[in-house]
Amino acid sequence: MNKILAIAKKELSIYFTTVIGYSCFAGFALLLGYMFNQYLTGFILQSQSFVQARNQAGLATLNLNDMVIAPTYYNALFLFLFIVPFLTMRLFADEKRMKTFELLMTIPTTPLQIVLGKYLAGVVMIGVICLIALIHPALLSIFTTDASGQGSGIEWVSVLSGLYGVFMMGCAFVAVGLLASALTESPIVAAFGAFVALLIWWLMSWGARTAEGWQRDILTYLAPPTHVEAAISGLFVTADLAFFLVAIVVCLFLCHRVVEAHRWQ
Amino acid sequence: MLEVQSLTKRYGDRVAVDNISFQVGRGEVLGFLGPNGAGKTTVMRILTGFMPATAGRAIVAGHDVFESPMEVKRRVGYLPETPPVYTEMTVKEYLRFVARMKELPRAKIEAEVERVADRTSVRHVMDRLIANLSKGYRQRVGLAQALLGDPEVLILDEPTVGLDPIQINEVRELVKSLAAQQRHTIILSTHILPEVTAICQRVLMIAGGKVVADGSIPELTAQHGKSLEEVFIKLATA
Repeated sequence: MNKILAIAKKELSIYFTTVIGYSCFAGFALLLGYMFNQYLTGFILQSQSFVQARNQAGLATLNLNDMVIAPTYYNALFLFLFIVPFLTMRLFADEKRMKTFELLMTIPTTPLQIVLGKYLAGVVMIGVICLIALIHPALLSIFTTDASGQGSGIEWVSVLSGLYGVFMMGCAFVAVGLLASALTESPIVAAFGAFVALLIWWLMSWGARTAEGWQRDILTYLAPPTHVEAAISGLFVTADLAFFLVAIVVCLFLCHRVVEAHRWQ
Repeated sequence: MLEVQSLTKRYGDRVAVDNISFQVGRGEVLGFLGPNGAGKTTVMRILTGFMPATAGRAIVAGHDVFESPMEVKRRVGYLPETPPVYTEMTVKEYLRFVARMKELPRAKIEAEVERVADRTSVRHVMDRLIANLSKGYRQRVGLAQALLGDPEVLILDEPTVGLDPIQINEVRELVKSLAAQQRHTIILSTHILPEVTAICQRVLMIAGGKVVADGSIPELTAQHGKSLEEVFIKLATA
């Protein structure tokens, strides 16, 4: 455990000595802020038109959670497609390129400890990114009230549930990125490979739209967005958690095999 | 302390190391010689557990490299050909990281890092990023890393490449002082022959993956020629 933490600490310190950590946070904050702003503007325009039309029934259906936070969080998932490959690209590829892999393999550590340490660092980065996504509901809760004019306009339970979904999917993406990084010596190739793999995974939901029967069911089941819908709408589904955990374990297992296989080349 | 029996390493059809056997005793400094591509690095990588051999056995510090690699890794300090340093870390962060990975007790890490920093004269650059250090300093930081935990066996792959004459001399003095303690077994690969003459008691020369000479310098010169250089050229091209 001590060694896993030592490796994670090393990776985190490298994230923040280089600009990788900061640029991921800044890029995410900027893009998500823009998206949030768009949804919020849409929400305001909609409510104004209801007020002008004296449409009380329409006004009653307006909900910040469903109309602003949920779509913003869906977009956060989409941003992960671009950010995660950038976060994970150098985790293994750079060790090989800089010849430090030889150090890792000749000090008393196991490939499992190396894989878990690096994965943990990636998960911490995703955790921090998720904290950035708390800013938007926090702003809304300060500046809005619910229908009765008493509490805040935000249901925190569904916000946190949505964030948990975003985090779980981020963790699964990091496992894919880590595997891609273990397969090559070039961080650029690792980033590109992770991006393509994640995009294919994500786009399975497109395939599901045109497929029929059991093929449709399988593609729908395998597509990651399927498994965050419930969380983002405020429901905790154990099967979704299991889906991501299985994806993480499979990727980390393959990654471990790849690292182990390097000795035999 | 270190025993290699009929070690062979093949990469596909190419035989990099061909049935090599040798022994090194405690306190001995072995000069590992050979032209580029002779298989020196491959042998060192096998001895440190970085890669397995195709055939044969290697016992380092009493443990079989293949059967109990962790035990071997705990007892070996290794400086690879390219110093394995993280350029994005400071020297201090890097040495602390390696010390932690080498299972040094937390309370002793600080003192041990300072000890190896003193021995390799990197004390005054401890807070600098390795990226901003010269090649010579990176080499020394790599050497400092190998010394952490005072391992019984030191395997140094061309430790003086890229250093200026003053630094070369410092590294030689360091190896000599380690040898003088009689506790360490040191294998040092190089193709700088004066270096071998200066610090090694014994020479193992390989060429084309095979052992072509094994003995003390006076023995080798008596057998094969006037100087070590003559011996090297004669055996390496034979």
